[in-house]
Amino acid sequence: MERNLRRFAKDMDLAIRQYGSNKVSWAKDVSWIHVKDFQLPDNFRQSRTDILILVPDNYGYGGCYRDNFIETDLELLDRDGHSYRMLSSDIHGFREYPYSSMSESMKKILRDRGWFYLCLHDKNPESSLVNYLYKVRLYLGNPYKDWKAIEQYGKGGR
Amino acid sequence: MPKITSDGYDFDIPEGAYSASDLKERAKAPGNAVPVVRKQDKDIVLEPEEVVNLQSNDRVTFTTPMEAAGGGQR
Repeated sequence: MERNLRRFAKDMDLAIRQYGSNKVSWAKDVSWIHVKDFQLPDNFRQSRTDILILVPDNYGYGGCYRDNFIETDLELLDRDGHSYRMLSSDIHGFREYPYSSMSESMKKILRDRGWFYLCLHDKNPESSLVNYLYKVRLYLGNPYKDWKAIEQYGKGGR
Repeated sequence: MPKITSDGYDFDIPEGAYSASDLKERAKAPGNAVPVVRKQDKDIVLEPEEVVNLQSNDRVTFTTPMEAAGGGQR
């Protein structure tokens, strides 16, 4: 299925207004978006990261953002609230994209360029990129919460 | 006084302890809404049974859910 290019243009317009025209770029085939200097929450040692977001094939037709990559050498405040640690799989992240839907060569390119994969599946197909990145930031600021339980809200849970 | 923003409206809520469910009920937020409490510069996402102590400058908003997944087949 093709992506909805009209919606993509609106989405990028909003993203440029939010992050600045010199910070947002995307692939010609709109398969990915790159945002430079995305602000991290203050539980990271670094204040900013570049972030790469994959655009779902059915974007604009029910597809939700879910795949993003941040810089792999970021340091995150540990559960003790004092020390910092490298990113790892316990925050639903991977040093290499874990799914077979991406070619091995592309996985290697992303890994070699220092991208750390985060699987954060937006459940709202109406979310713009700005909405999605707000949620990514929320997630990164609360990485040790019970996200399974939080997701249950979306299934009518209290 | 703490504030809640829901569906485009702002209203005050007394200071005190609230669970995520309390906040959703008070705001008449939709079933799938996830409460987020802004305390100073921190945005805290509430788990379903988590209780938060709201103080004067805190602000409650709601977002839609997302799934933090990983692994499996795709």
